[in-house]
Amino acid sequence: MIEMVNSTGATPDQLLPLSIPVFQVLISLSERDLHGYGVIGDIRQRTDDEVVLSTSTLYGAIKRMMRDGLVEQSDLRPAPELDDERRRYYRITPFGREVAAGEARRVERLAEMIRGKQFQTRTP
Amino acid sequence: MRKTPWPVRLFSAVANSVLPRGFRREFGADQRDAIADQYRNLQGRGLGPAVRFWLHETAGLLATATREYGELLQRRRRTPDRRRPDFDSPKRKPEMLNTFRKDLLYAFRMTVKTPVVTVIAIVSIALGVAANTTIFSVLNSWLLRPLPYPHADRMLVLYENNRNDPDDRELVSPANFFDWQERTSSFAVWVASSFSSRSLTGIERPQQMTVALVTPNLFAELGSDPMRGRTFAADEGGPEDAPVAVLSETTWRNQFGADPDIVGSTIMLNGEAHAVIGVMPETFDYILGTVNLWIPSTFEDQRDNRDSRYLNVTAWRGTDVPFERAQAELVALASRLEEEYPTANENWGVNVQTVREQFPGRTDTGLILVLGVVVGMALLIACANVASLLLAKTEARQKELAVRVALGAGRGRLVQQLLTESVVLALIAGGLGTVLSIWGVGGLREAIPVQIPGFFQPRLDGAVIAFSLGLSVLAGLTFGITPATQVLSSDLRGALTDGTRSGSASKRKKRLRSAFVMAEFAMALTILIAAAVLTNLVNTTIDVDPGYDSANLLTMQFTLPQYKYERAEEIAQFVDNLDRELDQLPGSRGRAFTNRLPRAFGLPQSVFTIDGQPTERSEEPRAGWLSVISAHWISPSGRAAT
Repeated sequence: MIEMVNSTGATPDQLLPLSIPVFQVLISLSERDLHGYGVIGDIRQRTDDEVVLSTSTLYGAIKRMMRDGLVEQSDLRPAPELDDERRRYYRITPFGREVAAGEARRVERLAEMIRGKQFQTRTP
Repeated sequence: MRKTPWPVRLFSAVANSVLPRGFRREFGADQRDAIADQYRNLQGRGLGPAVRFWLHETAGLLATATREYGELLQRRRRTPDRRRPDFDSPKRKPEMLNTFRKDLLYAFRMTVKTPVVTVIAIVSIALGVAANTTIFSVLNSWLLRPLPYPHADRMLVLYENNRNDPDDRELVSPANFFDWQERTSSFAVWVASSFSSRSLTGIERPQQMTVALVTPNLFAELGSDPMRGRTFAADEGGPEDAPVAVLSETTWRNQFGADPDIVGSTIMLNGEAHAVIGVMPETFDYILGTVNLWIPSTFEDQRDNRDSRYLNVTAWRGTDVPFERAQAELVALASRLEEEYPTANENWGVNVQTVREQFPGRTDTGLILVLGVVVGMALLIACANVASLLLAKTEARQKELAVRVALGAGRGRLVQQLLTESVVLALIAGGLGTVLSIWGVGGLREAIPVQIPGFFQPRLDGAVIAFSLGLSVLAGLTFGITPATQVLSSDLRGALTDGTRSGSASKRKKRLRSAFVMAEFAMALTILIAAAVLTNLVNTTIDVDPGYDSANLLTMQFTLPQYKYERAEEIAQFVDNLDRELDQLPGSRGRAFTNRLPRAFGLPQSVFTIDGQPTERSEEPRAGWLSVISAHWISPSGRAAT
């Protein structure tokens, strides 16, 4: 099997575990390309306001993700009347998808480990 | 293209000065747009969310800046010799740190060298910071601090509501509570409670206890653990179950001397034995009030009671249910219940509120914001005073500064040095101010006359201390900037050669000082007006004629245990005896009895009808506070006798 690597030669596994902002951004971009504000809004909505990224945290994460080859700038632009043309959109790269899938497997394994343990709490 | 709002521009300017050049070149414009979008979204949503947003952005900015610079430093270590791109001034970084350390040491030396100026500056700024910190502690606890309950954002407080008054909040009848619970699907969890008073006997001094009857799930849903023993099991509290009770820490300490063996012992409430199963720590705080002990109840025996409204009801909407849908479902159900039970529910709707809407009210917030502006101005006056002092001090240091320029120091370096001195001064003052605000906050807690839930009591926490220190740095920059920038325009060379200053520089300083005095005067006048308005407001409240003279008037309260005084005649007998004995007291000029003191709130209203005048269906039900009074009520005060 040929394993994917990014421009620095890192494999997806070498980038794990991901920080919460990075993983959340990857989840948001997994379905469609978004601009910064769109990413923040999507994460807020999906997590019921449990994860709220500040703009600095978001762009700090995007910067590192671009360096690691997880996301890239997208050429996609909605119709000009729908959007401000200056905005830059970001999209997930195939390597980014691999990394996100690896992180998802890691979290699932973790969830499996704690299932049925005493310290699991109820939610109303 | 829409114009960027000024707070966003200001924040972006700060972000640009804090973040490394490479970062801001790449993302600066995008970041500003994203902030602007969020800012526009916040419009009309009140002060709390706006403050939270800016604090969150600031925290994110600081964390990102630290991380970015950290990465740059690491990269720099890896590439020792070559030109390092993306670094503002790579060669000077260690130098800068070294310079900063020197400035800091020098600033401390200067602070000690002129003790009088230092003490005056520190005391004035400390007082200003303490006042601001105290007021901020209230704002923090009322509007900013997250609520201490799990899923507080989904937690709703439900009231019945007289349809003629949309703001009306009445407690809920048990039958309606059960219908709400069983005939809606938007809510995941329900908690109900009611308050009553019971006599605790079998201890040295029998006492009246405020008891909360609560559904057994209360503690679990509020995520609260006992400090001793356990809380209620899910199936406790039925009419057939053995009576149990959980004590508050205060009751455990005051009434039981913090008995370590309290769990498992039996206490007598209204003559009925209850097993103590746990003690809740003082920090446990249910929003609806402070109580001495909790008893579980399913309220099943009251299932058919639709006429008495006495339950406090809290419910959590489901994870995917928006507030509007939960509210709409309950409102629709209330209308159906009104049709099904016209006698008890006629004209009764439902009022759904978030926990944040319970407290504080709009007036409280307005008042505290006015106070915030007043203390903010007081701090600005202090800053202006200290700026004047430092201006004079800088003038006296002309020679020293001139020597440093002659030895090769740039003017920018001198400004940096003087600003460091100001900030050091301000931070010392800030530390003192924070200590002073401990008393300020304590005093404020005593002074707030209304009983507010413990969680909303102002206190010094991390956020308040961070605010205090941040404010100090800001104050330092505010009062330091003018004296420091004076160095840029003054004739230092002249100071070195003949010790004189040019005429224009002297005039400029004079003008500056006059400007300070004028600004201080204007702000002092504003404070005076605000203080006068507030004092007048307080006086008007105090001067409201209650209809009686409260001078030399004493009140006391008693509750007769039901198990001892079951019949009306027994109660009347007790009151008669008490009346006679009070009459014997030397100096007593009269006495009266009532179930409700004037200007006391919080009792449920009673609905009444007038004989021969049946209430029409469309009419508002007649309701009012029922006061039972004895003969001579009011007369002891010397006003109209009954």
